Amino acid sequence: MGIYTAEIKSNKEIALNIFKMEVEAADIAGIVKPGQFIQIYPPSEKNMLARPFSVSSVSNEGVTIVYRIVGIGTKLLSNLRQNDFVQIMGPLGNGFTLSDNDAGNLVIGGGLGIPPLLELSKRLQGKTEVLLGYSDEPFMVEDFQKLNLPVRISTITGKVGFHGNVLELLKSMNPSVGQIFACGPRPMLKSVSEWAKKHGIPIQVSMEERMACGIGACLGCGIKIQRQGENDWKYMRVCKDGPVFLGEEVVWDG
Amino acid sequence: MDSGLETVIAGVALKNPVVTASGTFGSEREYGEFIDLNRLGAITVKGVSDTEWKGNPVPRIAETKSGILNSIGLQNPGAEHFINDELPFLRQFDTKVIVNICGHTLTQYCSVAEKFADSDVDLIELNISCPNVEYGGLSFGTDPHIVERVVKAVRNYVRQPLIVKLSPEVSDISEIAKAAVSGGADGLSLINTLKGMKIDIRKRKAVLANKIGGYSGSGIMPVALRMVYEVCNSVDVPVIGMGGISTFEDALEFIMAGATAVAVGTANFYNPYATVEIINGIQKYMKENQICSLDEIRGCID
Repeated sequence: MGIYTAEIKSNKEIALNIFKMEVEAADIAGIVKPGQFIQIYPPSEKNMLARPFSVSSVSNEGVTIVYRIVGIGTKLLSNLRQNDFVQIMGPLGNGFTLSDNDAGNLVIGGGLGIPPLLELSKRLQGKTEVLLGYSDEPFMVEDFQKLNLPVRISTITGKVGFHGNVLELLKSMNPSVGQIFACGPRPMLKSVSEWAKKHGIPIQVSMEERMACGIGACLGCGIKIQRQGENDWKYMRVCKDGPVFLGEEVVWDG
Repeated sequence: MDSGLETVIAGVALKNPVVTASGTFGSEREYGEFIDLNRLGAITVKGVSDTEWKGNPVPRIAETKSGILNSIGLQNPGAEHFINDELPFLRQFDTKVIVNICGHTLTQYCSVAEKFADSDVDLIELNISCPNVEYGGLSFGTDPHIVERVVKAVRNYVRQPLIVKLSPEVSDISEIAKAAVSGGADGLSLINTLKGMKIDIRKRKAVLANKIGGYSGSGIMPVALRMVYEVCNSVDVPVIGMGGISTFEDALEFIMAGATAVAVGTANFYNPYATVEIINGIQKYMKENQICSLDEIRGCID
């Protein structure tokens, strides 16, 4: 593990305040698994914590992230241009567990939880269907369509695709699948996990929490997890023990 | 390798004065992926309590303009787990181990101290200064009479040299320092975090779930330095200075203020190499300025 200086290959706004950045990082690209994340240091004279971003796609030379401007760190990152350099760290955390499933895979993403599902969808074997939920304006849809997988869209405003949230889309389809992979806002992951549990379908969810170190040292990014066979929950680390957890092990109310 | 950097704290010889601050170095395995843990003067482990503590609700972290706020709440698996599962890992390295102990009650402090009495740790650091626990922690560290009483009581159960970690949330840090020494402290460490807060104006909510947390990082360094200076001039025990140290220059300021050793905390979160960079920087400074021993500059500010 180390911190690398990486060259930016591109950094473009793909939707309002949403940017796609590709960095040259062959060392990370060679080993990163879908669902893992990297940390990028915002360019600043002052000490700033590195920002965690899940890897959206991987090429031979580098990795791509998709992020929204939510604060000063992401604002600074959005100002970077091609051929600028950033300090990055990774890959971090545990990715999704990719096991073959004859009954097929369902990939469900919501908002900024969608990016890490692209590389996952690329690598999943067998029949795979993708559901993407947005509040209004979709992004990255064509990236998923290029994989030749069935992709369904929902928007809360009804602007594109199914009118409603992704859970309502899921319920309307009532699909029969072998396993589910999901990433998105916590309320979405909670409701999708509950749906999965009701239907006896295993689900892996990729979670998010405010982090300081990103490597498991500060215990900042706690998530309540109750492992099978244990009689109480404990705070685990989203960065080091996750960010992917089994939906049934997350203590959603709390 | 660390010629001239050797430092003695309460009879324990450190190869250099750079130690990690409690709660900022995980279970140490994490930073072992970045640096050679053998380089460190000592490792202070995250606060350990008698039994498992679950910690505070999330969000527990908020970044501010010149530091961070945390509200971890001393989450830890308890003394027994630490002794069986984490201590053997640490003992593989050629560095000293300081165990930070915490409790909600005096009985809990004594109980955890007792559990470490026969374990292979070099120093015990008594945490009476954490702002993130409702009972114990800071509430034991702000009244000199209570400080003296707690230190005296815990002293009876501790076999190792005892360091007491002080809070800056007091009107006169020297008075607290004297009380700790009179209770039996062999050394002092300071400062713990200052209480702070951050509000998300878009959500109109405090960022931390507990609203108030401990403020650390470069923003607190001038306060920490002043307090270390005051304490070094009022007691005769060694002081581990900390609070916002992120470079070797910062570390040297603390040593010149009188600190025997320095602890690096929040800087680890920004830069996992911070401790080793600081050790290397101090060595380079000494060489360039023809300083053979840190004693030549320690406490040089009258």
